[in-house]
Amino acid sequence: MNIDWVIPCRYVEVHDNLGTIIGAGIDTYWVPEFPAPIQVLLAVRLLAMAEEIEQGEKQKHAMTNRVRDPRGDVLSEMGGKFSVSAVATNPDWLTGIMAATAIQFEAAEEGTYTIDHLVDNASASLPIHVVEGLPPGVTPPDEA
Amino acid sequence: MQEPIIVFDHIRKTVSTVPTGPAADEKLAELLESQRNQVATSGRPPS
Repeated sequence: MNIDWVIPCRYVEVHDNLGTIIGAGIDTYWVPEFPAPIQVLLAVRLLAMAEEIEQGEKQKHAMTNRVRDPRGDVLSEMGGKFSVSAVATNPDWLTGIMAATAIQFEAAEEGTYTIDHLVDNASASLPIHVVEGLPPGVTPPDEA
Repeated sequence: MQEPIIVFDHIRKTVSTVPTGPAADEKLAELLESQRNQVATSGRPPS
């Protein structure tokens, strides 16, 4: 199984294997103080060959998510097994599988964190910048 | 049918699936509430 793309976003939902993505392209989080909980939603599209999904729930795939701190050290890594209930339209075509995924981690300091998303032997890495304060030009709610 | 969201919670050390749509429960509400406390951008300040 391969990863077609992973898009960080504000929100994603999947209906009938099609994704509705809101606010695609998020990569910077502005937080009032540290430590700060960070939540990143990911729109993930996987590609499978027909033989990788033909056995349905009997066929398990590995999914792992890893978060690395600004120095590149692993903060946390978790994973599990999943199966796909899908039928290939044509055995010679790749089958796309959409998955809405949420990642939550605690940022202890300012800097660029990395989210590694791994499915079987494929992986995608995303930089997530975490900054203390508000974006330039944004007024705190109590001063608005 | 709306698919559930797969949640990798590195704070609580759990992997779970959270129902969405009409079947949404308080877990989804919590998930979205925590996001409201953040300002997230594409790196370019919002205008």
